[in-house]
Amino acid sequence: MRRVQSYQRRPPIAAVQEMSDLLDADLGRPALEVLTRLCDQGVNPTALAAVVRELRKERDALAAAASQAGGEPPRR
Amino acid sequence: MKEIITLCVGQCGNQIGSEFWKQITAEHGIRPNGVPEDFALEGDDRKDVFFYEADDARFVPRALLLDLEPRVVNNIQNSQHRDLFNPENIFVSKEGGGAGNNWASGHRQAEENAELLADMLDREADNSDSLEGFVLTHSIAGGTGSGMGSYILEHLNDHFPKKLVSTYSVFPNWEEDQSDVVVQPYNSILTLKRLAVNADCVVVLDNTALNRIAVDRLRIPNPSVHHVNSLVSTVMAASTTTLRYPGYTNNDLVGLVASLVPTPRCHFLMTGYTPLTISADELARGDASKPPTQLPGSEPAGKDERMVHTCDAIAATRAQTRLPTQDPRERPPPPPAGAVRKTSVLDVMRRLTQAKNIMVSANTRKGCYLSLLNIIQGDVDPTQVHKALQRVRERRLVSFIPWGPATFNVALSRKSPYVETKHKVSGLLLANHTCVSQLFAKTLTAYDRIRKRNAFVENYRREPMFADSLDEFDDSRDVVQSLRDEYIAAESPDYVEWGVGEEDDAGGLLDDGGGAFASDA
Amino acid sequence: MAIAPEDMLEQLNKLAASVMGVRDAPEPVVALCCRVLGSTLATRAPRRDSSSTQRLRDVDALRTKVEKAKGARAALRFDELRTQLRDADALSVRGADGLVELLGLVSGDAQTAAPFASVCRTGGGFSRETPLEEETETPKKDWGLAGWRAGPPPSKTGLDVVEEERLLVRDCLYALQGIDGRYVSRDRSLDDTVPSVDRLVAPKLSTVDGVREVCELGWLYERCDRFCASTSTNEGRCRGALRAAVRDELSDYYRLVAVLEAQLRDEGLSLRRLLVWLVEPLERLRLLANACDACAPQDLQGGALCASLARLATHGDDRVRDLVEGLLAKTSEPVLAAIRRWVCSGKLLPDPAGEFFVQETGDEDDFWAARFCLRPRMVPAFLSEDVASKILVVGKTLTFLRRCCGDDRPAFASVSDEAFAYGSLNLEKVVEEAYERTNQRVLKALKEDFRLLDHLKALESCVLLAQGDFALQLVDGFDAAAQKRRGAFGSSGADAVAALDRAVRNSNACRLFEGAVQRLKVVVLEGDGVSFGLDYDAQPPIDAVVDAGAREFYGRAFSALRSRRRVEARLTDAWRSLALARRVRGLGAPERKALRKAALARNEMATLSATVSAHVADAFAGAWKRLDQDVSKADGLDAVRRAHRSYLDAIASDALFAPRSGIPEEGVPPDEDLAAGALATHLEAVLQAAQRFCALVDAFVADAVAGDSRAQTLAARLDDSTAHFRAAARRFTRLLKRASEDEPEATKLAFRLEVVGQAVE
Repeated sequence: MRRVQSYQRRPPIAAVQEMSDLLDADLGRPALEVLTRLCDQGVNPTALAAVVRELRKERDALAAAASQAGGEPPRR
Repeated sequence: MKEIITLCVGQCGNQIGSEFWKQITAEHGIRPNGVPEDFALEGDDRKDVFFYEADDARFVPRALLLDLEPRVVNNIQNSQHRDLFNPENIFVSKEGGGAGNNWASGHRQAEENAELLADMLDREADNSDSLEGFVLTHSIAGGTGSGMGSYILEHLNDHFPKKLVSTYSVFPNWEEDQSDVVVQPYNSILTLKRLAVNADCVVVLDNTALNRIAVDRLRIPNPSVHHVNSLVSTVMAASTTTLRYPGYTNNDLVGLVASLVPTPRCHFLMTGYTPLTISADELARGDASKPPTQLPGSEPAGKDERMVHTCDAIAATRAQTRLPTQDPRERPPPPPAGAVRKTSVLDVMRRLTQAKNIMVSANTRKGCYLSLLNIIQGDVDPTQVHKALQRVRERRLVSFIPWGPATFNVALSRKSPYVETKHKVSGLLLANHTCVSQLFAKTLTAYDRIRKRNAFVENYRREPMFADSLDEFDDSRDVVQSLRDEYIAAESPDYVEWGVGEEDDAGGLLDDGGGAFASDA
Repeated sequence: MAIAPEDMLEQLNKLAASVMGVRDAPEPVVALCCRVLGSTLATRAPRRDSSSTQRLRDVDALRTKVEKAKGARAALRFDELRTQLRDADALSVRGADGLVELLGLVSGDAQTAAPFASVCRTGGGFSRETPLEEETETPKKDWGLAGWRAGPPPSKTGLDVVEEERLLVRDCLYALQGIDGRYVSRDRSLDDTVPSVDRLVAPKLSTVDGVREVCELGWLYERCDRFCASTSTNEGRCRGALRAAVRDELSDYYRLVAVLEAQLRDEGLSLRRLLVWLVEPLERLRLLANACDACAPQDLQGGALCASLARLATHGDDRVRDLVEGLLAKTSEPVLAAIRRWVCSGKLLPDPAGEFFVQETGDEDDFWAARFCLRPRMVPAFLSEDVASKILVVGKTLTFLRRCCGDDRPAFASVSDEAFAYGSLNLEKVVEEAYERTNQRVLKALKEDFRLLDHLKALESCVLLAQGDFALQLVDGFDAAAQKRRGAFGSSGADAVAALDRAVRNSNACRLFEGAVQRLKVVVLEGDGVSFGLDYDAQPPIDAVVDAGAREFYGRAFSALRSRRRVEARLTDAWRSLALARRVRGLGAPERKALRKAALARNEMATLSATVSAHVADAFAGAWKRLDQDVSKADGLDAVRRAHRSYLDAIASDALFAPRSGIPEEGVPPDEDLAAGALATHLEAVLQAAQRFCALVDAFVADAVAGDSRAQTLAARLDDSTAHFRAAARRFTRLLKRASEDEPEATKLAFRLEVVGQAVE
């Protein structure tokens, strides 16, 4: 039920995206969608920020490992 | 408590006395029969100065009513207040013939009843815990009040030498036609000597002035004896408020008198009162009640006392001729005296310096004050007194003796809560002023005029005191003359030295030893 | 907020995939995210609504950042977007704000993140690709950290790297609890509170940093723990409450350590992961340790303890404030409980450590003024001085009502607990209301039930001798009693008591309210000779107004006014003697002359005395009027006391001519010079001269009447006495003139004397 409702009232994802760009948050649309929902559901934003940071570190580590192995460049 | 016994002597003395008692019973919340009202039981007044409490809880006046003829006393005994007085304290001579306007007769008759009178006085004195003194009400010009009053003054000096004797003495109206009572100068001179010698303090109730005030101030064209007596009772009651409602000072008669009498012989006080009002009741009563006293067939009006109320008699005649056509209650313009004005300490004190409010028929602008006491009654802000004094001072409204400090006291006193008055503040002036010498001068002139011819002395010669000689007349005249001289001397700065240098004559001038308190006693 | 776990997992998966730019996020990464999320949720204090201002500030900072980086237009757009997000239907305001905060937090992160080992590769341990040994080939002598000892020469442990990290982490967990481990231990040579890393095979710089962080936490923990352990015998409730609050905080910390230990045991825990776990607790424990240090001094108790905590709470960071406020709330609970009891029922809780700011001194003499006082240091910071003193007055008034007025009703029939909870905005209101109510009650009790004004009137009438007829009789009665006592039959004060009874009975004093008259007490004054004084046994509750100082003043005033009354009476007696003497027949001319002069001299004296007494009567009336007004306007017992005090001051200066009532203000010593006014002394001299004159008059009259030859010498002495009086009067009036330049009351008297013709030079 909750989900149906939330689809009916879609969050203004374009605005979120613009805000994200403005702040150089460097987040994609799917990520923003998820974060918006979680924030709306009351998840602690500081915690989410920590999660995002963690994920980035993982990503960078993976990228570094891949480049060491001669793979594609890290995604920015 | 310092009790005071009141002695009402003669027709006039009993009339003003009964008015006084009426007034103060009302002020103390005592009903005419002596029973206190319930609301008056817890008051902060002192009823025991003038009353004692009988065993049946009635308040009985410490008063003796003395007369040589029964008319006035009978009136009192038939009045509303008949049960107020102790019947044992009423004395009317058996003969009931009065004193016939003769001082000597009054004096003699009193002497004849000396034992009875002494008994009454002793009994009443024993009734008091600590008797302070006596107050005598009388007139000085008639027969009983003057003669009997004089005898009583002598008696009090004799038997109660330590007690203070104060009098309310009605002075005759010299301005009226004297044909009515021709001997009043004789009687006055003889009485004045006793007042000078045997009394400690005399409050002068000047009939001339009282009538003038009734006419001028109260707008009563023909004041009756009731109107005048209402003024007198107001003054008497007001002059005793500091005794009856004790405050900071002047709570005993001696203290009160001592502050007003700087040298012992100058003890004749004049009064003033403001605002003067007379209630519609009094007005009506004064007019209506007169005819009965004059009705033919009523008891013969004691001629001896009439002189005091000469004006009343005349007024009464006028009233009789004019009033029947006019109901007194329908007087078209309400008398201005009934108008209620705003009163304050300043206002009252200023008015008390004005000649028109002073109850003496002498010119107060001449001469000076030896002492002055304003008794202010009512709802007063004590901080206003200083301001009022300043104003009186600035305007130079009063002048004082030049030879020493003169007491100028303002006593704030309560007003009886049981008597409704129109004004918030009222004031009484008690003052020792040198102008009183003018009254003595008038008396002396009138006396000299008839004494020169030895007119009307036969009635006196018939009495033992004058049987041998008329020396008593001359002696009395000397005392009054010296009194007048002393008051005149008090106006000059040399008063301190007055009479002192005249070694030879000192006895005559200064020796008041007419009393019986001899040095060898 | 209920979020289904599977939903959460799905969301996190999506998020991880998006951020990492892969189709499916690796499972360990998602698990890490879950833990991070969980740990931050677990160790963080819940956000309060009150932090909205802080949030605004954050948003402002963010806006400034945007403006700096991208210009004003971008900043404007930021505002627009923010409003748009907040207004969006599908998004709650909180969500919108959170989102902005989140974006702000992660902004610019991408550039700064340094590449390091991934959890994916190591499965939670250190990366194999970057073994510890590799970078520690050249150990540093100085790691640039104060208090950190250079490690001993590295020695190979022979353990494998995984095992080594496990051991290191285990040691770290020990260090968190203040326990020395194998690799991490405290460096006792420097400071036994500072742990150190040694014996570590080959610490990398990042590892050492990490360990140092852990050690700091351990050190902080030790500080807090020490605070909790330090008890003293005379410990206050507040300190106990604070300790319990700190212990509560620490137990969260224990729980975390236990979780971490379990994790290490079950699935392994890398140092880095450990550090992630510890970010939040470190911050928290830092604050806590600071708080503990601030509160460590044992003499900080009660309100003072709260005050020193409150100083820490004034901090811009709302996390700091939250933590401290939480501590403060618990710490101030005992104080609030004491306030509640004191304000509601006027009773003190047992307070052995003296923590409450209201102190009972045990002074029984002056119940109202001295029984309770304020300990200013113990006033907690959340109460203003004004409120604190009002609280004192409320409880004092209740105690006073209970002890002295027999009224033991509480201030409130019932009062809500919230009013006395920490941070209640109602506390002041409740105190204010209690203040109003109790003051009204005590005023009503004093004025109506205990007839304060009637008592004061009785004091004026009797002790200040304003009731003339009473004064006259009492003064004579006391003098007679004292005279008798001087005689052969040394009787007790019974005569004086009888004289007092008589004076009351025979004067209008008997009209005073009975309870007042019964409190009049005769006291024996031993001076030169014996005399009797009048005291007023005020008794509670009236003695709160007529206190010991006031009674002492009344006593002095009685003596001064009595001598005036005595002179008045003697002058009247002298008048009487002179009046009687004039009727004596056969006095010689010299005697008559002397009598006359005496009468005139007496008149002078009486006039002066009467004028002074009229002035005094005025002064009494004026002072009473003001007292009456002040008392009717008074809003509490203190105001009534002030009114009475200034009434006495007025009596002192206006009636007695002493500049002040001479009652020492609390803490101000009485000024001896001022208390004894020169005017009063001179007036006394004048009146004494008059009194001596009166005695001579009596003697002279007696001799003259008896024909005694001594009369002549007495006459001469009368002249001397008169001259003496005049000289004294001149001195007095001259001084009065001088005083009247700045003393309004002296001006009034000078004026009065002038009116009656007494020369005022």
